[in-house]
Amino acid sequence: MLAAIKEKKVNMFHNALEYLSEYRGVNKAIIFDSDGLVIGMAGENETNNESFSALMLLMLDQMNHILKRLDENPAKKLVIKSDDSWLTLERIGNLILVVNANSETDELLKVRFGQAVEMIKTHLVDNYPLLSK
Amino acid sequence: MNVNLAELDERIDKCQGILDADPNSQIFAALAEAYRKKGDVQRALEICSSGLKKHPDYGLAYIVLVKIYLAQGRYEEADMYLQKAIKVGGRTRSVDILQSEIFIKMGHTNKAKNILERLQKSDQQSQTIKNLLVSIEKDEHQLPVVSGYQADTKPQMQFSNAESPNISISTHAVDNRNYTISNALTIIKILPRVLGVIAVAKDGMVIEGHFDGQMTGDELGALAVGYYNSISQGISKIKYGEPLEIMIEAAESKLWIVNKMKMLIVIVTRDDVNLGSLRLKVNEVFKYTDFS
Repeated sequence: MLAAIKEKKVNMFHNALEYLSEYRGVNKAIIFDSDGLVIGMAGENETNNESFSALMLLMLDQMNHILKRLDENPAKKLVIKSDDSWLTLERIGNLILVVNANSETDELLKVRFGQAVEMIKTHLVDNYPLLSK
Repeated sequence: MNVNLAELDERIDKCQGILDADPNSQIFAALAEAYRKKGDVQRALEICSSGLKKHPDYGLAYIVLVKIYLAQGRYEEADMYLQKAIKVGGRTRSVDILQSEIFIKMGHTNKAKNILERLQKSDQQSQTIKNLLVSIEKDEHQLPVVSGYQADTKPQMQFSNAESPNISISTHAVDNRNYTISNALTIIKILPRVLGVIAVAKDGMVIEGHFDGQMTGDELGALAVGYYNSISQGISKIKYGEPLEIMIEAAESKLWIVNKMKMLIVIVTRDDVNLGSLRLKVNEVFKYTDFS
């Protein structure tokens, strides 16, 4: 009797989020869709993820409203730095990736962020081609 | 972020229409210039080069070509075509300004200074000439931003040691110097791919600014304060402090807002700017700027 071989599916979303959250100073990495539905999260879970995603969407919408008045396309990426925090948002197709880090992090987080974005893009193209457009 | 993008598109449509109707028209130069202003320098280069094959004695087109090469950082080509422009159209004031700009980019600051000082005698109010002279002044004093500025044409920046990537400057030479806000903005404006820079009070009042002529200070000031306020409100809900920096990347431009005491410094760049290099240079300028 042959054992059924189960294909192991790689969850690239989860891998990308884990990859980000393990970096120095990163508190949380979260990905949600354009309706605010949380698809994945890694890192600390102190804040309500649904509220967090809604707030991020609201900030992006306000931004895009102003950009539209200037004949510019919607923002692709937003980085906000304060004294002790560093917030990065990037739109990937229909999804939004957010990383919330503290002051312990450094500029190399950008590189890791870029790699995570590529992982998510690849996953979208491979599995959800309509979403990635 | 270009508020007159629609106007440029309209100009492109009109010029393209004329060129389609008459492929031998000299309108190609205006079409190429419109594409350059829009930021599509590659398309501008193609149109201008192709048009010049049909009209090799059209001086204005060479001027457009020089501006395109300047935008691409190809200074030797820019200089070569400027000489052609002079050959077919003679020397004009705008040709001289372009020549000085090329000299500055190539590091021949003395030659540039001679030209600019001569031009300034007949027009002391020209902001372009003032900006270029300020950039030369910084170069002569080996100020950090100019060292970084030269790094664009000579990419091998010298780091003093592996742990501390300081730009190779003689810092003691600047210990006693401070930039005014006006000087700092002027220096930032001439950095590569910077479209505009302004200092705006947090109530939206523009203090000072430099632009490429495609947007007004009031519009940019209102935009920046609008951004800043909406972001501040948003992040206060997740217990973030006051934002120190906001970077927005859109399709055609990048907007960098820096919170400096009672004002915001707003820098608008093209989308293909080297952000790391820009940040390095701007931070060096800010280090010596009095924001009080």
